[in-house]
Amino acid sequence: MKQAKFLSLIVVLAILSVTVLQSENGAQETRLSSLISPYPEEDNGPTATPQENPPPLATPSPPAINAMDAYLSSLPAKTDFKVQRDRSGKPILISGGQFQIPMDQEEAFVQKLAEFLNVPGEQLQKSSKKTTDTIWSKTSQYDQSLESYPVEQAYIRIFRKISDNSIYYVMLEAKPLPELDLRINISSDEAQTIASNMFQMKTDLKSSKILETPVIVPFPQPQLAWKILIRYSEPTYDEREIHISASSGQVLSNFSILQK
Amino acid sequence: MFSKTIQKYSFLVLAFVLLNGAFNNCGKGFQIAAPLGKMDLASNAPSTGTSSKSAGVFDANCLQNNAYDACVFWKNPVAARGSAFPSLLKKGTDLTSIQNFGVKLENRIDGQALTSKSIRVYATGGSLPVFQNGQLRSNYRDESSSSWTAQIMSYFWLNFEETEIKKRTGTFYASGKSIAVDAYTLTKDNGSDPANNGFFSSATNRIFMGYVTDAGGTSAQHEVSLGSETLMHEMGHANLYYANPFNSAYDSKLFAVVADSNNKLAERPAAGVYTSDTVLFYRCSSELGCSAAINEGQADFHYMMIFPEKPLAMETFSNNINGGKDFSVPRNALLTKNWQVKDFYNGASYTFASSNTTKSGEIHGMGSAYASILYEIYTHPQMNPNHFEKMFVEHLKMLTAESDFRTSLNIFLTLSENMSDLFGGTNYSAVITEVFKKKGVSN
Repeated sequence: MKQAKFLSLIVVLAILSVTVLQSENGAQETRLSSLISPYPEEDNGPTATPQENPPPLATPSPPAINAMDAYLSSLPAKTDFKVQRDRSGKPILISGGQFQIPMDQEEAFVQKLAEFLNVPGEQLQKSSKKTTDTIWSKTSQYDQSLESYPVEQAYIRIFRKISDNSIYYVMLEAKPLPELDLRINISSDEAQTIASNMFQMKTDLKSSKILETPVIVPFPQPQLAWKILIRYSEPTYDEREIHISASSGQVLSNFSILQK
Repeated sequence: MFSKTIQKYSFLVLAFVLLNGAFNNCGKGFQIAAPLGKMDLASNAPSTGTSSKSAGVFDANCLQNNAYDACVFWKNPVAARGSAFPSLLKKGTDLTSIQNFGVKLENRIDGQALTSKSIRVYATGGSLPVFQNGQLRSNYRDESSSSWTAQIMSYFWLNFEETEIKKRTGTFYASGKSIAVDAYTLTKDNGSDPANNGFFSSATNRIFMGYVTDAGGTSAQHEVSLGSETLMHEMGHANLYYANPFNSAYDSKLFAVVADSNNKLAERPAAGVYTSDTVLFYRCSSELGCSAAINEGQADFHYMMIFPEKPLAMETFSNNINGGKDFSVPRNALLTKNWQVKDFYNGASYTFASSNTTKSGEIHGMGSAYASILYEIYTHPQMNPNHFEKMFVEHLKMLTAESDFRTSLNIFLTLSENMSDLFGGTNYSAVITEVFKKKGVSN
């Protein structure tokens, strides 16, 4: 009996140490993401003032490992399922399971999954974009947005077999957001000018196009930004997507979208 | 394809050590252990759907035979010839004897144009083809400036790629997307950096195919689009984009190797390239790859499904029957059969002499790692190749910006398990695990 108690103690300690390790890993990830922020030293934008008080990150979720597993285990399923997590312990996908969830309950299922990701359910809406169905599978996607601003590359995507409608794969790309300042101090015209000026002197600018709605981008920390597409031809042709902070005008990202 | 920017900047920026012929168009530096011409290329090539050789008729009299709409090269001129040319192919060369693959130009929606619901082919560096009685048999020898054969090659092989993959799997995501295909572009103003290049632009829904130069040269020798596999590679990018438009710039494993404003070597996260930087190449930070490499590899696998007996690229581009190279990585799944991901990672390396710094994991070289994994599964004796084609198509929409080779392994295992009802109860998990493991990827 004494031995059993001792073993239980060891198990509890092991679980605690895993939890601590996971939160440490999470902290390391946060530091890493600030290290790899796109503009750590060089100023490319006219108002590239570093934000002194970046908004706090969302409270790291106590890894919802058991809760999510327990929830999934409670669902009618045909096979075993597996939850894959990133280094911080955040679930990123569910594979297998062949969960038997009727279409009319799918939204509730998504809301429940969002809970485990620390994402408020109201931030996820069924995508209006056409899904890419095949002869064997169909997908539905729930895009994340905050006060109607789309969050870039953030969604929950559900994969179903057409034959029996079961869910065999779920991509959990929705992300918890900190409290954000959604004020727009920079107009779309100003943002476009900033982006164009970045290239005009050094390239043969071909075109510059701005998306009508600002989006929420993750770098260097989540914030509202204008998304601009630039095409230029000197010194080499490229098409680049630029994000300009809607509050400060800072250039947040600059990357090529050409695929060679 | 790969960018040659690094070559252009090699003398401006740093003293690069070119390890091999990666950026040379000729076969210089292309060293292979055994001449492939003497190997049995087709011994384990899968048979599914219509073979590329059955897509037309080999006819020595093709150009005079009005049974065909057009006469093209099978795959590309070097592949059709079965050997390299004495020197890099030049426009207008007499290739009558190998322009012998008689074909029908199907699915056109305009009798006077190379246009279907999925593609619209033209050439800003050439002229619009003129059909005669609905046919377009143009001899490459007579095309000093029209580049009609390049346009016909583009239409025929891209249409065949779409039709075949759709027939075999039920799905081609880029179908009906009316993608503009510039089969031969010479100037940047047409929306391309055309020297030794081809690419897909999602922003403008276009595929651009440039021109091939001599090693170290700048003048156009022939059209990149004479290589049907390069066309299919670019369409592979489009197909993934329409399946699942993730953006690899969000991948924390993707980095840009750049020459900075002081012409010094630097490295940036992919999303953080400065305006003053010149990107030399993109690299994955580990031998397990990154989503950009997966994108390149899957694009290669598109032509491997069409030419399973010749799973290699850029024979004519490199004037080498064994295809081209990215750094020291052959773009040839037969030659890399026994390579592991670490070999691709180290092979896709560049050493910058001025700082004695080596940057590894260039995305096209790493793409070859992914293509090699896919090809090994495809040709595994216990794999039904058509089943794998179906899994491949499904897996495209399950990738994310953060995917790597391990993610893909898990995707294929999930698919294998869940698609077994479609495959008569067969679960290929053991084959998939075996190949990934052999390549150095385990979950």
